[in-house]
Amino acid sequence: MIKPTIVIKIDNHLDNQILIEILAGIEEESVLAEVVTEKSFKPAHLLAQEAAEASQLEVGIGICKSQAVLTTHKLRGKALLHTNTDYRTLGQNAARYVKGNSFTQMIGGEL
Amino acid sequence: MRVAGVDIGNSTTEVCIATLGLKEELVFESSALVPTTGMKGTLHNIRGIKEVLQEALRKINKNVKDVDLILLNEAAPVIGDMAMETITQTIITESTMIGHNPNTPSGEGLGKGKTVLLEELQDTYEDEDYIVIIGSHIGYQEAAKLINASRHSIKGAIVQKDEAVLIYNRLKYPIPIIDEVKFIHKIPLGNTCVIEVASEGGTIQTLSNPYGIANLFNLTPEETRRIIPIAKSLIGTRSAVVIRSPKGQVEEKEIPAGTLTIYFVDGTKRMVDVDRGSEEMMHAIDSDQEILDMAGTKESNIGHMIEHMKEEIGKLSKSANVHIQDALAVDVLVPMSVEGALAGEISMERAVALAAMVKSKGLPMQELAKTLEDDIGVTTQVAGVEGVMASLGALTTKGTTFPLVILDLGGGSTDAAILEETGEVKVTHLGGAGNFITMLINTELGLENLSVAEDIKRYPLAKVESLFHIRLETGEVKFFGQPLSPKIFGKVVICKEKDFIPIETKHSLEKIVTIRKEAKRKVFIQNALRALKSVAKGNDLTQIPNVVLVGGSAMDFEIPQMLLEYLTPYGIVVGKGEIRGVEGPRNAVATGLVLSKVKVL
Repeated sequence: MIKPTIVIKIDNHLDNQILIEILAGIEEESVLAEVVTEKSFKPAHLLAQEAAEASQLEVGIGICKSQAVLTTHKLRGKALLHTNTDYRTLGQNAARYVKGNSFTQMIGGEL
Repeated sequence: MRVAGVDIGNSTTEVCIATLGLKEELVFESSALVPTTGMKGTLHNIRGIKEVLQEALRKINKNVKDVDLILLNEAAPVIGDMAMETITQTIITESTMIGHNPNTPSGEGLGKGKTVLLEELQDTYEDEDYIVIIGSHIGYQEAAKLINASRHSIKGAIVQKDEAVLIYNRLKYPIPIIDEVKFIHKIPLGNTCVIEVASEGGTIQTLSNPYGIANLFNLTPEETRRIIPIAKSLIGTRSAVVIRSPKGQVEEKEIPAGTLTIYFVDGTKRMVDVDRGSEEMMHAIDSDQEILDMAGTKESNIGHMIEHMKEEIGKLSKSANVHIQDALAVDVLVPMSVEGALAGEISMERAVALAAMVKSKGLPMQELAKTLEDDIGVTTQVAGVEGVMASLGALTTKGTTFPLVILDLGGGSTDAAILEETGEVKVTHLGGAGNFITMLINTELGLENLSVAEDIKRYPLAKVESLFHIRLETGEVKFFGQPLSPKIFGKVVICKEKDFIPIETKHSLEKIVTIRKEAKRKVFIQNALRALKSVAKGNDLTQIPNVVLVGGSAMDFEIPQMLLEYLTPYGIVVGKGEIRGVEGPRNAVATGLVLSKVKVL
């Protein structure tokens, strides 16, 4: 069965807390997510692009070390939003993007 | 010779430059417009006049020395001002309600119990129902764990952080949860509390019903009457909390609005209670008699408003004797933060907005002309009355005939003039125009930002539906090759030329459009009808064949069409002026000034 999910691609050695926060942000907005682990080293924006391509919703998040990047299939690897602090809001905004709602302010982010 | 006609208006100063040949042939060369500097008719205007002359002359590679004669209009000695006061106010003493619309509450239905902090729950008796309060120091995982482990009967939760769904998803049994309650520490503990969350897409049904609240809290008829403001302010929300603290009260205070007294020239007067609303007030103001002055009851709302306006205008025009000659009253609903609220609740309060027209002493135009002449060394004359000049200018619009009526939709006032074939002119000035609309939009949307309100008035709206397309308020879709800024994604934006300005409110596009159109209708439709009636023969609108709209607000993208719709039943041709076929509705007075010179010579 194909599920409408935001795909999150993470590198092998990720700090679990970052992922938990991003998932919590998505869950609070009642959107589904799935996590894929990448074996080889890739920068966050590349992970995000691959995740977006794999996502039914065309929305992906890539996390490498402390950097988390949100992008969509249509943006072809260009970051929509990124953060290395406010992971909860990044997850929330990924879900809000899917729903077509405006973004919430991120701490230390560009918004 | 080269002539410059200069029109100093309440908000803009306009110029029209033309050369007059020996055989009286007139060649229009240039025009320009700048914001008026200072109050109309004061020496502060000179800076703006010099600016506008330079701008117009630059276009034809000339400078001020190339002008032989400057003509100023005898500006109508009227000044507009406006004020607004709320006449109701909701106050909560001892916080008792949270009418709150978080984006993502969770659970569904009603829960009733005593308020208790989650961390103190274990110290309370087990035989009661509880509503737990979860501060930001407790994360969603811990909160869910504590609730699941508790043997107390928990009927609902109020959460400070945005975590309602996260907690709900981890609970063993479902309860309604409200989150994003900012001032959670203000919630009185140990009091009976009811929490309601509506299903997705729905609005609450019980707490927005006075009898619903009465039933839950066992209220007497007298108490039920008192909680009406609570029920009222909860209408349309997706979730709500009502807490009954023993001393707590919500009251809807009526502020004494006072009585407006209108004194007429013939010595009679009319009085009207402001509480009765704008329609009654306008009924009293609109009379065949000319108005001498207006006043409001001392120490009342209307009294403050009128005093304030008179004071302001008196200060600006340096005149102690200020009389209000006309006023336009409009009912508005203003979103106001509820005093004593817990989550930044807003209640809609009734208010009256008033735009007044004050006739000041004659403006010192001669002095202005003299000073300008000395300053730039060009002969300067005061050449004609504003209304007449505007009519002359408007006549350059093709398709017009006598008797010609111009409706000058300005920033500060709505003016009308009728020009008969005999040259006879009748003029009227009414309070309330473009700036008043901006004020209404600003207050009704609770923007607290006049420049955004001004943009809402002037430009159409759109919703940013994706990073690559927007849907305009007409329903059309516009696509973009480059992704739009995440800052405007999902928002309602103002399409200002090439820019998109996001409007930072929760209002839908439809709501904003409705408020915008209503504001325009309340001000200009009403004022147009009043103005036309007052200049028409026998106050009969059907006596007017055509109306030419001029002035800044005639450039508006929907006001001219709105007026056409409303005036068509009277058989009136109404439309935006096309001054000299090129200026649109602008520059009528400045053009009229130049034209008047031809006729005189």
